[in-house]
Amino acid sequence: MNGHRPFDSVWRWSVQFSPIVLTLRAVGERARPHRKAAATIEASGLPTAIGNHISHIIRRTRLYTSERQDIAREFIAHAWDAHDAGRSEPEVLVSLGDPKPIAALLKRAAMRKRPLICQVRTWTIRAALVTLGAGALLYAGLTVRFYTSSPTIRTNYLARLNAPILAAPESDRAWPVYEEALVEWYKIEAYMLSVSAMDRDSEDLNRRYAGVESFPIILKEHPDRADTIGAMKAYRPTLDRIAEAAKRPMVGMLLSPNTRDIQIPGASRTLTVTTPPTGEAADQPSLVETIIPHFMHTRHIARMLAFDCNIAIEERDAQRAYQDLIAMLNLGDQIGSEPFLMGKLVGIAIHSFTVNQIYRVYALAPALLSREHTIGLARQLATSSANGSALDLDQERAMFLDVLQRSFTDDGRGGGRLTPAGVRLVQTLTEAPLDFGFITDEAPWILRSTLSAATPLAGASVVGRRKQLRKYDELLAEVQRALDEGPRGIETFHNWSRSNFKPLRSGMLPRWSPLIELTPSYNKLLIATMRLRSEFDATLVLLAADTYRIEHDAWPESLEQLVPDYLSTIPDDPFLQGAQILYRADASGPTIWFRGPDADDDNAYESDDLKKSSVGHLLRLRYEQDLDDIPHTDAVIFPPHLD
Amino acid sequence: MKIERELMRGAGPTAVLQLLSAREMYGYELVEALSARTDGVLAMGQSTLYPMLYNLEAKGFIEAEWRTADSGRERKYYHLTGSGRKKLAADQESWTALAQSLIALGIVRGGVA
Repeated sequence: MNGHRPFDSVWRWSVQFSPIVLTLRAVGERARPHRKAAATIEASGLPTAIGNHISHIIRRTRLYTSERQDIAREFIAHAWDAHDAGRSEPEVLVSLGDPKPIAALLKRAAMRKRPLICQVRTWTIRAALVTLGAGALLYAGLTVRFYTSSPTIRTNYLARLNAPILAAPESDRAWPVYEEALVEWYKIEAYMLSVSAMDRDSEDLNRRYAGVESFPIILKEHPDRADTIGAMKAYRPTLDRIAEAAKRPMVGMLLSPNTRDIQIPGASRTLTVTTPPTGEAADQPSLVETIIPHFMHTRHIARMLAFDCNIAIEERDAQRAYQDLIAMLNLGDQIGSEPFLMGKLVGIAIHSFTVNQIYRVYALAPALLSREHTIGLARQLATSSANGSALDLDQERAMFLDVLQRSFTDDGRGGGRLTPAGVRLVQTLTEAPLDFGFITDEAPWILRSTLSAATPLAGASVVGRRKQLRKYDELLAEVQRALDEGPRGIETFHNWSRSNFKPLRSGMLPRWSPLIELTPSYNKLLIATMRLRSEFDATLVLLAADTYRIEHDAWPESLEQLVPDYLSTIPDDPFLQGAQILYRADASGPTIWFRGPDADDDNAYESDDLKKSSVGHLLRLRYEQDLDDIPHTDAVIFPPHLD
Repeated sequence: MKIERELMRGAGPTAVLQLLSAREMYGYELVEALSARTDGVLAMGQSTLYPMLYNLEAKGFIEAEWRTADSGRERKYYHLTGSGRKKLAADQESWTALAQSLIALGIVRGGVA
């Protein structure tokens, strides 16, 4: 034992060969692999020229430290043997040979000597480096290809959509009248606000503000009530002009990215309108970015008409109420034929608002309307219903085609790949980077920055324009099929979308950008359309029943009594295929309802939590949600729940 | 006489194996023996010998061992392994056949029985 305790050597061994020490040593040797061999050569006592020559050869081998050390020792021994045998220094140097080829030969031979695991490691590292290099090269190529690509904008879709407006005579365009009317009303409103006794601190909006924008009904106790009603009545000649203008074929405001604000004297608000687009298609933004302020303006006009209708109800002015309702229906038709889905949805909203206004008329003044009024409204409703069912999907397609031509290259045969311009467009429209799916704004900046460098990869993963358009056409065809199918189409489309469209959103790479970002919610359109169809049907039943009442001095006991003189057919119940709308009448008046999400007639029962739900919401419950517990409620259309 | 590199590449390893079949030897000793016993025909410098030795070692035909000589100097001694002996036997047969063919063609003069 020589005084050594066994634990000493074990301890020393465990330190010497501990993973940390070994790793540090390996790192140190890796950093200076020639150090040991150089020290050995220096310590050998060989003549400097020979030592340097050997050192030079060994350095060039770039072998592991231990391999260099081994060769150094062998070459030193060889040189000394030569020296002892009487060889001169030049002879030894000649025998050593040219460093470059001998180093290469030594390296190749020494590497063959290495254990298999070392060779595997070497080849693995080489393979990894080659793969990385090839990958980097490929990515560099991909990046150059991506950043040098650009779209070709061939078609001016904006000009195409504006052409009918520009070609139409002034008398066909309603906007000039609307613009004048709105400016006039905002002036009146500004004056009323300046003299108002409104309660600025009230939590109730109606108490704070007596304008029509907040709501078309002014509470009876509102201090400004009389003034506001007086102002609206004074405004009626303008409303008459609006009612006439609503009959014109189009709103006629140009679609444009450019706007101007019309200042209203004395008012803080301005009226935003579009100005003619300038430049060529390539200089203009995409159709998706086109500003359509008149959608908001026409909703405001609809509220003014409803407000006036409410005054007419209070004053029992049937003709005035009728005229307002007809104007509202015409306005809905007009805006519903405006471009894009948005126009359709605003049209549906105005129509739905009008239908509810009709219910309000009946609920507050049951016998107000005359036979001529009910027949006139029914006729207008039938026209609006036919208009509401039509959807110009070509305009929707034009919008998507415009996005494609601004986002993708064009090979002239319908194909093309995403360009940086397309990435920017998606970023502008969605305010989200075209990036990997899991990256959000909350992600650490370093992650975001790293992955934004991967944009070319994300871009390369995006499906080409031909396939995107094919998918979009497939979607539009399904929308049309669902519209034709009726209420059940909501379910058909929902299921199709779930299995064919929603999966396009999955995955880390944005393969279906911009399709998935820019496709509007067509299921909302379907629900809104089906809802409106049902509301129109229910309203036609109400108007037919009222016409009957006027003629017979009693409500019909059943709907069969209305067919065919007052109603061509009994409308369907949207909640149950093959079933008809439900009706009953008693002394208090008629009740009109649908079966509701459970598709069962609960005799016009409405559950408390769903009492104020729209038909649209109930349709969604029926066709889009796989509920375990289907709510037992009917969708009662009339009498309405008045606010 | 210098022989061509390609011929050296074929004959050199067999020559080294042949020398080591008699006894273990170190590098310089091999250089000297090759030169002396072949009248310089198979003389090779370090640049040829050591890569060749490492290759033979990698193939398992020879093994090496560091030892301190009587002079007190460290030397690396090479000796033949079992597989090296088999390789040498196979090479001897090949070379004999080759030599006989060369004699038969009149390329090599003299005779090997």
